[in-house]
Amino acid sequence: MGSEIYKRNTVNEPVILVENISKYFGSKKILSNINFIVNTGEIFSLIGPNGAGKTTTMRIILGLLTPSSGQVRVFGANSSNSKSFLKNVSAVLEKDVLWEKFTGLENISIASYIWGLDKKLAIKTANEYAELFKLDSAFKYPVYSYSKGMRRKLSIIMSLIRNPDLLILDEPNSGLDPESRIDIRETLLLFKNNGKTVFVTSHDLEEIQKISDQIAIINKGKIVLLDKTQAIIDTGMFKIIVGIGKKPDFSEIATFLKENNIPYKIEGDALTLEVKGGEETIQKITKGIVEKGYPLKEVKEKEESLESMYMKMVKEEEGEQQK
Amino acid sequence: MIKRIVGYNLYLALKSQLAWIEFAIMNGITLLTFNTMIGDATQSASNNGFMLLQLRVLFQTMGAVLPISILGFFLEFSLQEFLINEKMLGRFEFLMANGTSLNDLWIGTALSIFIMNLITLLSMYILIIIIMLVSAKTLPYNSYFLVLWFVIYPLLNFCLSFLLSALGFIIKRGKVLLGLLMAFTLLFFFVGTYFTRHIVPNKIGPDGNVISSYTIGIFVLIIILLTVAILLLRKKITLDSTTLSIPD
Repeated sequence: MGSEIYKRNTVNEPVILVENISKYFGSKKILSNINFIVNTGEIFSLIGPNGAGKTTTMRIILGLLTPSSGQVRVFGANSSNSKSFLKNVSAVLEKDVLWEKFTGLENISIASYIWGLDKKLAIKTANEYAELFKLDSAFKYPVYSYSKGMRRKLSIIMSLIRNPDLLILDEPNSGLDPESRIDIRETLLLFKNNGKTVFVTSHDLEEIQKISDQIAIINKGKIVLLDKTQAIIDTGMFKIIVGIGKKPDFSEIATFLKENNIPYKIEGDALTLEVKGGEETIQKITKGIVEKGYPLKEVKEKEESLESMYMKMVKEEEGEQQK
Repeated sequence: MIKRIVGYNLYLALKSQLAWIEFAIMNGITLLTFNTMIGDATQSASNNGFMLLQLRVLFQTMGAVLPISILGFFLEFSLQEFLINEKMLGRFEFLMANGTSLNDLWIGTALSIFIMNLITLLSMYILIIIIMLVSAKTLPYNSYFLVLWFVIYPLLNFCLSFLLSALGFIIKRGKVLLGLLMAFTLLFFFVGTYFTRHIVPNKIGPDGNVISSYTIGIFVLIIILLTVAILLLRKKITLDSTTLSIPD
């Protein structure tokens, strides 16, 4: 599945091109023939269990590690040979790297000094993002008094003052409360809507599903699934319960379901059907049911589709390895 | 970028209470040592000539041993502040992931350590000169002593800063490096002091000069060896070795 996407997207100039990379630590293979492409203006998420190779992949993209074979090109530059691409890239690592004794604003000043940015402009940009993150009032307090969520937000603001075209985040939602997650989600979507690109590694499947355009699942150093988010969601299973309403029986709807090859079950005055598909498919079916005069009692997604797909892919891979 | 890394490190040191305490302790030790030394020399001397000879011997031996021992202690501090802690906090990875090259980071860190130590060394020299001029009314140096203070020690500081930084970039357990450095410094301090008290006084010529071309020669050899070690270690500082040696 991964290679199909890989071939499909090569028409446009990619922001990140990961081509057949493998990585060994000593004799241990950490990554095995990883391929994917991240296009301009999309949010690409790399998900997988602990030790799957997410951080190693991210480090290779950032040029912090060199691949044992294959290559990574970021904005057209080979990340192992040239670091020029990093001027367009900001990275927020899993650990928040902040200066504890200094205030939020002083942290921004220090970072802008190291990166050689215009201090006034950096502070202005930081204040704008801080307002968005509801962190502006905390800017005057030392960082040691910040909560985990506030630290995370400050780290993201610090990376955004560089006005990057590509933002790379390692576990941005780790340990955050729902409000902070929403703030981060909104900021990333805003960033994306400005034509910028985001690469995220995460465990937070719910958030990933909400923000990503493309998702790759990595397990034991291999990409086991790579697809558009919508395509993954479309594999979800929906349960629809239909009431009898004013109709004498379910014969009319049964014909409609049979014509569309949709299996169903009748129990008393309720007809239950389980359908695999995306929002579009479900809308088509429910519209057909309602048009026939049957009331919908319940329409619900049986499982979190990304979660079920994730579990399925990870378990399948483990099963294959056990064989 | 190197300039900005040095500037950033020195700014943090300036704001660090610990740096100021360490700086005060180092200069305090210098003050105490030289004051006691001058007091002992003036009290025990039977005549002015012998007193001047004693002062020359003590000044040149302690003036040689103390700066290098204090350099060791201060290296321990600056290495911890600028390298080990920064690396453990993930700041090296953060800086490298955001556009700082590995080479700039290494050179910037080593230069920060060198400059901090050089400031301490110079402040110690100034303090020693003032104490000698005020309490002993003499400054019994020779040309070799000046070479030792103003050429050899800064060079030694430079080499040690780069060598220890290189090691710090490569090894995962930075605390081991600090432990070894402390052990070597203490060893040097005690051996140096023993040498000063028991061996040097019996070997001094009639002029009382302790620092000779022989001393300079030994230090030059040490500097050459350290430079070779730096050049060899430099090849080991790679993106992989640095990134993978960052503690989890």
